[in-house]
Amino acid sequence: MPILRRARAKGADADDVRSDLPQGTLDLLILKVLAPEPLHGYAIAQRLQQVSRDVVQVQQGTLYPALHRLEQRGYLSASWKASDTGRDAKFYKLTKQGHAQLESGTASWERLAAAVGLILRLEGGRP
Amino acid sequence: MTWFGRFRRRTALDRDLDRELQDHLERRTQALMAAGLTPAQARRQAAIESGGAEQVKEAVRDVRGTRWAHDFAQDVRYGARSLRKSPGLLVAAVLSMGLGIGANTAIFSLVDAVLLRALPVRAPQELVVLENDSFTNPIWEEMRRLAPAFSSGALAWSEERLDLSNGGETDPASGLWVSGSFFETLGVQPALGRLIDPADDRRGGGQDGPTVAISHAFWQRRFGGDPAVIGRTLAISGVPFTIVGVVPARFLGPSVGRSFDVAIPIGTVDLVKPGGPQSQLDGRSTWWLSVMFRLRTDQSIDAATAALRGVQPQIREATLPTDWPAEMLTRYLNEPLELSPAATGMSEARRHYREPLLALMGIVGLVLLVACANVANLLLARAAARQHELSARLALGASHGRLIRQLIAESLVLALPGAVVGLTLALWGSRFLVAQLATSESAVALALPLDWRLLGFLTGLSIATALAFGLAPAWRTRRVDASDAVGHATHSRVTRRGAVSGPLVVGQVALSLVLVVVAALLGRTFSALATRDLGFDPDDLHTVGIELRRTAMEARPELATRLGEAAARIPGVRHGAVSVVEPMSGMGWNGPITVPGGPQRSGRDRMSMFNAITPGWFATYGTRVIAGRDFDRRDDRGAPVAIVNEAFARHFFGTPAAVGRRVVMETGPGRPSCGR
Repeated sequence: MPILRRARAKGADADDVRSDLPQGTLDLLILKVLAPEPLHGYAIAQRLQQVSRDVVQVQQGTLYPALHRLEQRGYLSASWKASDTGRDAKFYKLTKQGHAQLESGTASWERLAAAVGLILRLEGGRP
Repeated sequence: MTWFGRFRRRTALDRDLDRELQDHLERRTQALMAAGLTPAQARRQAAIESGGAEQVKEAVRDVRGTRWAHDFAQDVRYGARSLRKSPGLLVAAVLSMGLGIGANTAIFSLVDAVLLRALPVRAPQELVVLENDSFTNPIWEEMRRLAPAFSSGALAWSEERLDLSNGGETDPASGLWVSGSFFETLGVQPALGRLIDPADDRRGGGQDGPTVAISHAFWQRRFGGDPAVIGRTLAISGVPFTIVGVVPARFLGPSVGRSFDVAIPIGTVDLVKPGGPQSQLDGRSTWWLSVMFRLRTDQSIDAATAALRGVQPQIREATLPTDWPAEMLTRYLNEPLELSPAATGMSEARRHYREPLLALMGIVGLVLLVACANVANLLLARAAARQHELSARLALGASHGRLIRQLIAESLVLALPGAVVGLTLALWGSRFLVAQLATSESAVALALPLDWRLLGFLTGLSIATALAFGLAPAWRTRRVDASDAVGHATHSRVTRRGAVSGPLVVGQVALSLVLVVVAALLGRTFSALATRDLGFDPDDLHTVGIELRRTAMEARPELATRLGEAAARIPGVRHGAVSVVEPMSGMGWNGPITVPGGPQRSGRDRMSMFNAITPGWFATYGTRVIAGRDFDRRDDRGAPVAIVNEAFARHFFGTPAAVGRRVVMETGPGRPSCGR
């Protein structure tokens, strides 16, 4: 029946990384791990988990929409290539635009983090 | 990839996504197996971690932003399928809509052509027309000389029936006298060759002799679109004119509702109409030219009018009619010249048909509303029968919004064939209506192209219609409940139908009633017109127009009389006669009347309509002669006599008794009146 509405897995969002990561941060992290070399989706998730020492665990339901969104915006380009295991995998690569986005995103994140840090280090709420 | 690319390549994108997710799953499974799980455990674990392959895919598809479009396409497909299952409804709805949309589009195309559309010329908003009918050539020549003072260009034209035959049977064509500046100032480019230019507009013709530019339609009709037509000659009233070019098809002339076959320079008028001792070009009371100006960019119409009035005394003084009474000359000198916008051209048709067209537009609007109500009712009845299906959908997880979108999509599906039927009807109907407007005397030519304006109107109307009739059933789905899917709830819903369709039916009946009343009134007017006493008996009456332009002025009365007598001798013909003015032809001839010894009259009060006839004319037309006698051949040479009608006698004498009274036609000698 065409009108059937897809059952949205609302529950899956609850333990999603999004609840821990501020809005838009995942995009920046993905750009960052792709900066040195192209990776496929699984490797990206692994790399994020390793580098963050298991703090950042990205669900597929979050990772792939993010990858496709970044690709649509022109920050990433994707192509199928043979991977180390010999099987073909879809590798994502940072575009020129992506590099620029990573730079400006990093800069604004650092500015924000520094500002938040300043405020949180206040003693007694007064400078 | 663009949005449209993502929309079109959905299947390929989905396959790619499938592969990608499958690859992820396998890698995870292998990683888990490497960590010590059995293959079965690893697969299960990986699947659980993925959060559900379908859910992931849906989330990725959402990113593409094409979902609504795919849903819509799906709704349309489904709508088409389900409508195919009820062909009766389909036919009824498509016909209702087709009629409604067709009638509206047909009338709109006329309204657009007559009232709205700008002339197909360069910057039509800069064009202004000199008000009040027509002007003499001396006035035009003054205007042309002084035009640079108050405008960026001036043009003049006049319409006239011309004879293109080279001896033998007459070959009538619509002629357009144009000033040399006409095409240039309007910005009309030739479709072929060149158009009339200032060098052509000289008395007796320019360097190339008398020249003519022909209309596209005439070129096709007469010459089969032959490009070798340039340089050939065309006889106009027996005078050879050289064809220099073809006017583009979309330019039908400055008058909306009329077109022309040949355009010839004003300066050559004496070649075509060698009338009398004075040239028509010098006639100071021969009013035949219309005049238009092109404003300068950023010049307002008020500024131009003020500038024009500044030079008005100069123009008037130089062109004073020689044979006018003093009273009229004063008015001639003082009446202020007036300019008005002419972007949409000049039109008799517009004056005549403006209100009827707008009234028609209103009526067909009502027809469309009735058609909408009609289709809405059909759909409501169907929606009631589909209650069960709809509640089943709700039970399966569809939202109310989705159901409404589905029903609206079905309406649009229904509207599409309706629009096609409507377009067909409109194209046929508007041409039919235009053909109906034409009389034997004047053809009505309107450009009715199938252009973006018409298609835009049609599309907008169809969508609005679909929404109008789709809304009622869609709105009702709010009351459908998922629980209805269970049990026999359908029955209880059907009984509640009246709640929505009640007002609809009332509205429909009210609108229909209005239409019936309007139709009855129209019918009444029509029958009154058809049975009206015309003052003559139109049965068995046949009229023939005689072209006497090629006969010398003095020989015309004799020839006409002989033709009338010859016609009367044809077996089966009871009477035959000749008149200058044919009754009901729209032509007229008027002049002032004085009654010796009667009261002083002025203006309209002393005007009367004239006709010149041969003996037997009243018998031919079946008009009763109440008193006195008919003309006979003696009257040609005897004392001048006239026959007047009752209305004339009452007006000028105050009594129906008119025989023996004397009246004076101001331009002629005194004549006693005689008979009715």
